Amino acid sequence: MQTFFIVAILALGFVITFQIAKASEYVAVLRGYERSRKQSNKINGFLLLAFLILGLIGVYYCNEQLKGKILGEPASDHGVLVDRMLYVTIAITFIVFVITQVALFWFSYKYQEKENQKAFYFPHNNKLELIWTVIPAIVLTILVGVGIFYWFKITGAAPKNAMQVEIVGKQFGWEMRYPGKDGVLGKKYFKNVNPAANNPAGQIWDDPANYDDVFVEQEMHLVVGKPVQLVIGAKDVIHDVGLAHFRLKMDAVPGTPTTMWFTPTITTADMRKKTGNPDFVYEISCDQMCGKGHWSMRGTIVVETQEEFDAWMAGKKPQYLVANPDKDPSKKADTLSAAAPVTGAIIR
Amino acid sequence: MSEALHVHSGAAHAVHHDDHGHGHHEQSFISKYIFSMDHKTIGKQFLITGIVWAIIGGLFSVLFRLQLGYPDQSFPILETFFGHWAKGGQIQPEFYYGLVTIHGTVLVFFVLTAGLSGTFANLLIPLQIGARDMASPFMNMLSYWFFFLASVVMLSSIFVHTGPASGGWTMYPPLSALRQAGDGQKIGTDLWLIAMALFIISSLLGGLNYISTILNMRTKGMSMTRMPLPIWAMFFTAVLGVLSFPVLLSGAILLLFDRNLVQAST
Repeated sequence: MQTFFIVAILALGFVITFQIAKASEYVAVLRGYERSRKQSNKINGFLLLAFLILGLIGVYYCNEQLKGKILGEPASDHGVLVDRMLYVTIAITFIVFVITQVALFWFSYKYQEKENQKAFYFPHNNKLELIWTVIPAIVLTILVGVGIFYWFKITGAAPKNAMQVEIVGKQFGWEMRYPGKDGVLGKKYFKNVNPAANNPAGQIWDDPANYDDVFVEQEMHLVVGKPVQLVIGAKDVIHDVGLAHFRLKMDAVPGTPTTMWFTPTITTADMRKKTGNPDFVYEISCDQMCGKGHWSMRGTIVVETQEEFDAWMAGKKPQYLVANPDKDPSKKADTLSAAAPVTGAIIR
Repeated sequence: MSEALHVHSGAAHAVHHDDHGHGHHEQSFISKYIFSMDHKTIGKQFLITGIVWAIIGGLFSVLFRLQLGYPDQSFPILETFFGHWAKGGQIQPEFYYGLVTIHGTVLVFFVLTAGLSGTFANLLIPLQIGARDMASPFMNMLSYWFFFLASVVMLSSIFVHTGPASGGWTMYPPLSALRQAGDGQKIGTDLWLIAMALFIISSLLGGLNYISTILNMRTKGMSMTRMPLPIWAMFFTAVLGVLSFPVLLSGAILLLFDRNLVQAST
């Protein structure tokens, strides 16, 4: 029934528009072509002006209405730079937008066709063309140059004190690996990936660097004020680590690791106070179409102090010991005290 | 009343015009309006097909944005349009991505490239440079009919059981290369690739024609520097198309091979 009404409304709307157009055509015939053309010229000139004023009011109104939905304060050092770059770009383009649009519509109104008024023939001016080509070219080059500079900074070498976290996308979720005490991520090989044998990351157990690597899913913990380098990969198709609150994103490409680094500057707890939202969490959203569960591919990031982070990490068991419980010193100690030297060697 | 009279006399005039023919031989309805080699008719064919696609693509965006704008509401009209893909008036996630993909493809390629570029290039190039017609009217006709064929294949992909291609209009592999990645990566993606291959052939035939017409068939006194700006714009568009579309074509064909002839997963 509802569908019928909608179709009927559309059809009636079409008929009404058609009838109005037809009626105005008859009116034009009755009044005389020349007179009605001049009148519609006037009306169109006025409408152009009205469009400009209503349009600018609409832009302002939209901005006022949606202000609260804009992402809040950037939560990383690079995020501040990215935001500044965007605001500078918006400021420059907004000024140009207002000047050109006002000129466009005001001129069409002011200099509309009138009797005793002839258009000024102005075919070409090299100086003018040069000015309006060179100035935008220089401004755009500077804007793009700043963007490239930040890009190289974000994807370049991380500071020496940075921690490393590996993040891998899969259909449909995120897997993280922490390098553990040695600060080195162990080697991995995609054919070793076997969640059933507790090796979802495909770690090579022969590599000693793997012995203390911690594996977690969906929730990443970071230390406030400490730079972190993300080593990004994917298991199946292309994903994208989208960190809107940190103003960063990077593709996760299967077979080709990518990196980016940043320093979180606001803890989750502080952000909850600032936003007034007790449920606030930093979000990892997949920003690259990756299949039917793309919408659900959400991870979270907890930014906390070093003490909180250490306490969280202390509760995690290295994946090596999860996958090889017979090498676990805590269990060994209960049953076989003779094995102590062996486990000592494993933990290094 | 006077309008009707006017139309009538116009038709009479056209018939009259045809009778004499001014040296042209009689054309059948098919060769005049369907498999036409006249650049104006081909331009109109591109225009009409482009408009149809613009309506379909635009409607898709209206419908999926209805869902996006009010994610918690249900719209029975969606179920009317999409059946089991919008059960209970809410678009299923997989089909949502299918709609976005087809919307993007249709608007970028079928409307902007064929509908606009195809229409205006065919209509305006010969008129504005003073040529009788395109360099190769036959190739021009082929260009439209390859586009039409591409349209038919693309349209048919909306009606297959597993849904249209849903990997985004950029069709990045491996998502687009793996059948097991989802329903939209099954027959829908094959049809999408075939449609795109046909479409690229159409664009290439058209583009080569535009370039050779502009370079070789300008009227006396119409030097390149005197050419109207729209013609320069279309010339550049065609050159860019001829440079990039062969790469895209081989990409589409190789992806088809990958999906159908090679077992890439092993």
